[in-house]
Amino acid sequence: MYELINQIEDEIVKCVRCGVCRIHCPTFLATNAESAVSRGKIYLVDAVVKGDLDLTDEFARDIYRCVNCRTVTVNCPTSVQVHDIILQTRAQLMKSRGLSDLKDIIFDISTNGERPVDKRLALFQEEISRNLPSDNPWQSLLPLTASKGEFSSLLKELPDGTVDSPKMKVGYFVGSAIDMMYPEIGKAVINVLRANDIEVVVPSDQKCSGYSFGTLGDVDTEAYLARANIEAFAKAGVDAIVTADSSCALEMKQGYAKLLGEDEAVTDFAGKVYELSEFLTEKVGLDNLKPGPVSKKVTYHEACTLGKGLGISDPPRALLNAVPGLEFVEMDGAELCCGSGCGVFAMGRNYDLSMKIAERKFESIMATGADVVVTSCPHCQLQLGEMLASKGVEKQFLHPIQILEMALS
Amino acid sequence: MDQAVVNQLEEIVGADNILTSKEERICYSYDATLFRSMPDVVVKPDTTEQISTIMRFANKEGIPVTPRGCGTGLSGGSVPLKGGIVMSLTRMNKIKEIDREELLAVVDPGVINVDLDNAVEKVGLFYPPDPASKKQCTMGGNIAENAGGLRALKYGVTKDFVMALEVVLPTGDVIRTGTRTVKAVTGYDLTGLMVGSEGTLGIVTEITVGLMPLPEHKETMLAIFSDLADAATTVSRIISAGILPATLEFMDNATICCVEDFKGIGLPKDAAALLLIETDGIKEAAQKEAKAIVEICKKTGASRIEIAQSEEQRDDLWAGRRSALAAITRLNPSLVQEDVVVPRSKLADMAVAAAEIGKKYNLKTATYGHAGDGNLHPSFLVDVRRTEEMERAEKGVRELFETALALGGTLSGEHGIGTEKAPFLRMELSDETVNAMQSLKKAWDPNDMLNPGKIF
Repeated sequence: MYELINQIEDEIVKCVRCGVCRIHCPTFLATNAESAVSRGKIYLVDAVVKGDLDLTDEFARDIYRCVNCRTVTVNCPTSVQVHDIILQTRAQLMKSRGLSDLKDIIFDISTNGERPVDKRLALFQEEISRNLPSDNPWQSLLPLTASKGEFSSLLKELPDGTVDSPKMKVGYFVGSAIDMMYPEIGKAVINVLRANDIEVVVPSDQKCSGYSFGTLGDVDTEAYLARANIEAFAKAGVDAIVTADSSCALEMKQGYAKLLGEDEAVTDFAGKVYELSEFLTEKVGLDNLKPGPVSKKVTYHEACTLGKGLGISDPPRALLNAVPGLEFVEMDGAELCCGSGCGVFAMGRNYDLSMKIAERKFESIMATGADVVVTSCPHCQLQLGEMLASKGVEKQFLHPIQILEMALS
Repeated sequence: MDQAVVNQLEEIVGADNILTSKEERICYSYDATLFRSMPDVVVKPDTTEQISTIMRFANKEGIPVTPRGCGTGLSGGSVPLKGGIVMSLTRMNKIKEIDREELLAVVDPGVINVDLDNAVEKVGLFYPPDPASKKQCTMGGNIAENAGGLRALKYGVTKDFVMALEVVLPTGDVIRTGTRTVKAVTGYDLTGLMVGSEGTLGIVTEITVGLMPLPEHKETMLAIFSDLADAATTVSRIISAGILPATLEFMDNATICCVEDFKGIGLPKDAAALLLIETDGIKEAAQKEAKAIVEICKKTGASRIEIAQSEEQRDDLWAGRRSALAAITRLNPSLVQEDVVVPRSKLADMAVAAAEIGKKYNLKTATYGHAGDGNLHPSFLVDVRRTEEMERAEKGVRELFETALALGGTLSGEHGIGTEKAPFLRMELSDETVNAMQSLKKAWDPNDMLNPGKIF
């Protein structure tokens, strides 16, 4: 009956309900609800497959109550692809029920425009406005919040990326979060690459990577954005495509091929994509970077898309360890999810739950005594910054590339 | 469920602690077996008083109650066969007391096994019973199934550590069993009766367990064998040499391959069997025992012996063993796993028989387990959607039991009878014995409403 869910029946049946997910799943740990834990969600999908349950509101709420952090996917001893099951089920929900029907389930739109969640909704609203055509269903959903928010537009104000004798020519994929919230990270990317004789091209017709839309189950919008980005960078004729947002890196390296199939345009594109720390350690080389001294005490939070999604754990740490004078203290549970879900989980009904998940990082951050939290994901940065602020603590957040920019002088 | 009943229950536990929707109840209809049954309502009490009130109410209304911890049991113990109320104990999760001098701890039933162990380790103690699922099972569940684990050979099982319990009887009365003292013969041993009673005689609401001093030193090693019989002989030789390792675990080839595919820790996929062995105690003693074990393994034909050189290596080996249950489901998604125990000298016979039975019924088979105590987990890997295969698996299970009993063994070492083995109980127990057990059940639970349909 539900074709998309039936397609993953073989994956669903693999779950033996051993309960290891209860140790790892952040939403379970924050709620103690069996319907929040991976095996519970899988079992609900199984009930739909068997015809025992329909695509009810509560079913949808349970399926959207997942951070998509991949923690369980990576730790499941049976290797059940939990992540795929959730996403495929969301795609089925979108297909069967439609976006306007699911709106109330995903978003807490009864908000007054002044709560912390409104900043997240405003961000997504802006992402929709800037990236999607006027006839896209998301446009008809707006407004999601009364809050307008003030967002930058890095794509419009990037420094020049030309270099006299370039060793390499790379395309820079900015990503919505850095474009709208952290332009200084984008500027640091250009500055550091140029300082290493790498010419940086920033195709102006690039769009949001599509990660958030795909994660919400809207594979059509995801595909539209994927095609747009593939085309934009194909025209640019670059040797590599780098991005400083690990969720974008994951989406472009793995998500596009999964979504669109492996035609030449897709594989050409995906093969060129590098997450920034990967690019710097592999293609530029630590010996060539020659960072100068930076006198700061830092700790490192590992984004889920980077560590669990892409398997990139050492490169960012290697970059930090290569900077003289930098005091780098590892935190306990650096790889534990911050609860943001690359912005997607936190921007709706699950905001409070996402902050509860973030709170478990508090003690370990404080215990390091670091003044700076380094992370490769702007969504983690926003989430953890907000969490610390809610506890009256202010720390500086920096992307590894910003440390390298400081090390340039 | 009747709204009046729901309202009454809500009044007892609070609106936040009662689940009624179909979606929520679906998530409490399973455990780690293939058994399923829907509860009519789920409650999550957090005091003994609430539980007592619920039991009195349920008795009056004739509503069955099934207690539940993490729901990771392997015999269907927490599956609510007759519907009714599922009572989740996971909210009651405080470690109330750790007494270093008296070597005991007092915990709520919902405390996760590993959380207790981690807490007492901070004061130089440990809680030996460590089921492979220790990170995702509760102390209450451990009591219900008399959980064993990987250290039972040297230290014993749950029943050897439970000193006292607070129990809510099926009728609602609250009793205490046992004492905080080292010894006691004050009235019948109700603690002994409760441990392993699979949630059918009472709901445990407080647990006092004994603790052991944390051993100073551990030696962990892997012994690889190209012949299964040699592995079994090694087990006997170690024991008859007067050595009681803390851990003496067995994995057959099928298990080794699956664990290696999952964990990639360097296990040899061509080995017929391996033994994971750990000695613990005073440094000199643990090392001396380990050395003696290495010599024995050399004599019994181990093709390779690897001693863990670091904490990390040790953790890897253990993680590998603990992942066995789920790792073997790479062969086929659904697991039919048994828990037979045979006299130690019959270990090889049982392991070989399990493989042969699997072959006979054309089922993918893997066997691993606690070699030191003769407790093996022969497992058939099947697909629950293939009805004909499930029928063959049922036949295979019956033959496994017949074999184990013929070898002088028993149906279950630590997973319990539950609903899974109930049809086979009289293969081992005489009618008189079963009647004697059922008379106890009838006396304590006259309306048969606490976890009905289990064991018998």
